[in-house]
Amino acid sequence: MIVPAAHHDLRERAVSGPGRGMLLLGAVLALLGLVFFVILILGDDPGRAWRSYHINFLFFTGLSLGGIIFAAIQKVSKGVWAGAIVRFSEAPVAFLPISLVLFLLLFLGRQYLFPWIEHPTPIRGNWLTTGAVFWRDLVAVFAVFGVATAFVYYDLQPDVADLRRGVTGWRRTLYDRIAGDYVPDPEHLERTARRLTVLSPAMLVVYAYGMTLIGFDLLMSLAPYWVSTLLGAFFFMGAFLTGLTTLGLMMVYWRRKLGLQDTIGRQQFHDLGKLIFGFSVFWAYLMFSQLLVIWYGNLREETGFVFYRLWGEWRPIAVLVFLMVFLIPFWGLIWVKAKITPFTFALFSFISLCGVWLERFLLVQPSLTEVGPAFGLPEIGITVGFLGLFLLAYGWFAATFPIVSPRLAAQAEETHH
Amino acid sequence: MTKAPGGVLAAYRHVDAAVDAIRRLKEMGQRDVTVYTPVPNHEIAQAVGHPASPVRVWTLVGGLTGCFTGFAMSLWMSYDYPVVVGGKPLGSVLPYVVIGFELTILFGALATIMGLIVHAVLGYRPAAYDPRFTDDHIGLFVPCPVERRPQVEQVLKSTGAVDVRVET
Repeated sequence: MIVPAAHHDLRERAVSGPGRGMLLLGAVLALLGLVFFVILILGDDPGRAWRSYHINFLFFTGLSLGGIIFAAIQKVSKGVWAGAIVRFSEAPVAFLPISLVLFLLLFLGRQYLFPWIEHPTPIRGNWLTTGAVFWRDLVAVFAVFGVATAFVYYDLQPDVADLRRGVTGWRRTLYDRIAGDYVPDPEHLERTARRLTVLSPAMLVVYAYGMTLIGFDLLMSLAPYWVSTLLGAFFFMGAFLTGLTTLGLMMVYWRRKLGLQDTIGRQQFHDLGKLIFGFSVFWAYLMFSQLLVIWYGNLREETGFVFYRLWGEWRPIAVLVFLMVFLIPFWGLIWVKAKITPFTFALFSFISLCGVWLERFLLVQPSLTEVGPAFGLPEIGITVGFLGLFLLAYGWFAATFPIVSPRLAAQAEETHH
Repeated sequence: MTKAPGGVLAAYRHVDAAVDAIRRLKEMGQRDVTVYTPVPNHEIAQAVGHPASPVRVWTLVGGLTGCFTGFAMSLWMSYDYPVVVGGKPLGSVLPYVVIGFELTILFGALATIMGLIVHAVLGYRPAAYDPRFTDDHIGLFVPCPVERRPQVEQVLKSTGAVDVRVET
């Protein structure tokens, strides 16, 4: 493909390695979080630290995968409008290895998290035993992360091969390695297209299965006698929503940082805004369809879970979650002006993102503690640490690989998006 | 049928030329332009712009009316003819969300169709036409008074129209 002259500038910006600031900030925050975490698990309430760890592990893993899912959906639906922004949603792939380590570390805190270790649940057979849960989820995590990494790898390859002359040193070595024998001739283009055609739908299916399993094992099992077949879907659709809102925030950030005002315009803001709006509504729909059935059935083993969250001390949090994930973004993003103005778009994305974090908090905490909601150093400090790890991974990706794809941006422009 | 107002009708073979003409006409303050295109096209849509449709107000009013009607109807019925079902409170809002939602959609959709018909009939603006616009030409019809016509014609010709004619 011939890249127009206007894109030579974009090619330079793509490999300028603009992620160093983010990487540094991430490293500082991650270190801070690590210090807090170590102090807290050696202190007198390690359970609280582990719960906070667990919430953030689920939140940030879901958020990273949610972004990659957006990219996979683009490939499946043959959409090109997101060409200039799709790499922002693929960059969290760098967080996945960290997330794998975090999952393995979770094993150390299992006594504090999973009530079925201390009080076994023979009624569930061997499903909820330490070995079964961790081995099963390790396989799920490997499958999801593996497909996600392969998918991003092959979407990145043409850009890396194209831009490798613009980089030097160890990055050149890395680029050469990834590019391999790739040259943009019809044969290789066809091969990449074929690989992505297989990997992108595979990604969607593996994500849905894997995340359902993780949702059941790591979230639902915290209240081992409560069962909801919908929770898996609720978990991964919420994660997809956070992937979209994170992409929104990153889009606003990189557009400014890289000066992409000409490439990322009204169309991208409007379309992504519509998606975030739509999936906020979908989140409310899933939540309501589960709530309605439990309310109608009025079965003791089902209502407890909901009752504990919607009445009493947790009620304000539940109301806040409903406001932040559904009502505020619904009202805010229904307007075209609010969607295409970067400030309001970022504001409502940020509110929705924080809302889903609170929702994860609300799903985990009441199952494991007798006390009401508390926000202190364990919650905030460890969240900061996880945010640091995420930014570290994202910043490393942006500093290493082309954070915007001149090839896909040109494709989007050719079709007048 | 109402007769088309007088104006200038132009046919274009190329999208770029037509887009150029639309932009130039807008620059000289000609807001009323009817564009025909045989296939949907992003560039033309962009040049024409994003005018807000008046029908959306109908949708909003219809939707809100439906939402209110749904809740009001189900609550009023429960209290007017009290039957306790499944030990639930008489006026339980949670399941009525479903009825409220459905009537929002129903009233919203019906109001939209009504609004569409009303605006299509009241706001009908006949425009000159040429069968080529369903085949391989892009058409521009510019309704304007006689004294402006030479100016419009000049713009249309200079942007590369293959055919320009004055409709009276």
